Amino acid sequence: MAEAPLLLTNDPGERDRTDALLLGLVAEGDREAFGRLYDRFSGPLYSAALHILQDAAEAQDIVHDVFITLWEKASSFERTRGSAFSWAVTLVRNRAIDRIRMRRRRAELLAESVPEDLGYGAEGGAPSADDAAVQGDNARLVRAAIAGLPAEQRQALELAFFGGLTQEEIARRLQEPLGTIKARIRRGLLKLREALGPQL
Amino acid sequence: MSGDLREESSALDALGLLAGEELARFRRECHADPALREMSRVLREVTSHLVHWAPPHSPPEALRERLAAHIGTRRVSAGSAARDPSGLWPAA
Repeated sequence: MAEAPLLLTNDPGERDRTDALLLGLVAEGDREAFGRLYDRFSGPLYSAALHILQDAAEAQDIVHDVFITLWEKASSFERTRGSAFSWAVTLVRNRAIDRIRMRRRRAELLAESVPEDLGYGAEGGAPSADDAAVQGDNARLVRAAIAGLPAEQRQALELAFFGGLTQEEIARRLQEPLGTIKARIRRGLLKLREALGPQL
Repeated sequence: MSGDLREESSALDALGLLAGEELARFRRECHADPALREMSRVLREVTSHLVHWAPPHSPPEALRERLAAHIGTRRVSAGSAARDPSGLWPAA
C-alpha cells in the first residue's frame, strides 16, 4: 500500500478523505487498505447491527457481508454522493432492518419486536476497550449532540434508526399524529446537523 | 416545495422513511435541484453518525478471520488491529 496520508485524525474532512483513499486502494485489491478500513469501521458498524438485531451471530453475518460488498464494489463508490462511512452505515442498516422486518412479518408480533427501552440513555453505553481512537472521539461527540436533543426528538430518531419502524408505525407506537412525528424527526436531525457541523 | 417540507423530506429520506410515490417525488426533485440534493447528502451524513448512539461493542476476532479467508489471504495478524492496523492483510 502507498505510504500515508493515512493519518489517524479527528479532523472530519481529513477522516473522510482518508476513508475515501482507503476505499480507492481497496478497489485496486489492496488487502492492507481493506484491513485498515475494517479497523476504522467495524466497531460502530457491528455495534449498530447488534443493537438493531439483538443477535450477535446475525450482526456478525451482516457486517461480514457488508465488508465483502465494500471489497467487491469499492470501485463503484462515488465520494460526491456521500462519505465512505455513510455508505457502509447505509448498507449495514438496510440489511439489519430488512432482517428485523422479515422477523416481524414471520412472527406477526410487530408491537413486541421493538423493545420499549432500547437500553441506553443520553450518555450512551460503556465504551469497549479497543474502540478505535478516532471513532471513539467521534462517538463521544455524537453522543453529546444526541444528549442535547429534546427527549421526544431522540425517541422518534431512535425508533426510526434502530427500530426500523415506518413513519406510520412510529406515530402509532408513540400515539402521536403523523405530522408531529415528521416534525420531530426533521427538527432532531437539523439540530444534530448544527451540533455536528464541523463533523460533516 | 416549502423550506420546511424540503427539510422534512430530506430528513425522512435520510432515515429510509420515504416510500412509494413520496420517495419517487423526492428523488425527482433532488435530481432537478442541486441544493435539495446537497441537503439530502448532508442529512444522510448526519444520520450515519447515529450508529455511535448504539452501545459500543467490538466484533469478535473470528469475524476478521472470516473476512481474511474470504478475500483470499493466508496470513492474518490476530489481536493487534486497534493498536496497529497496518499489515493486517498484507498482499499474498
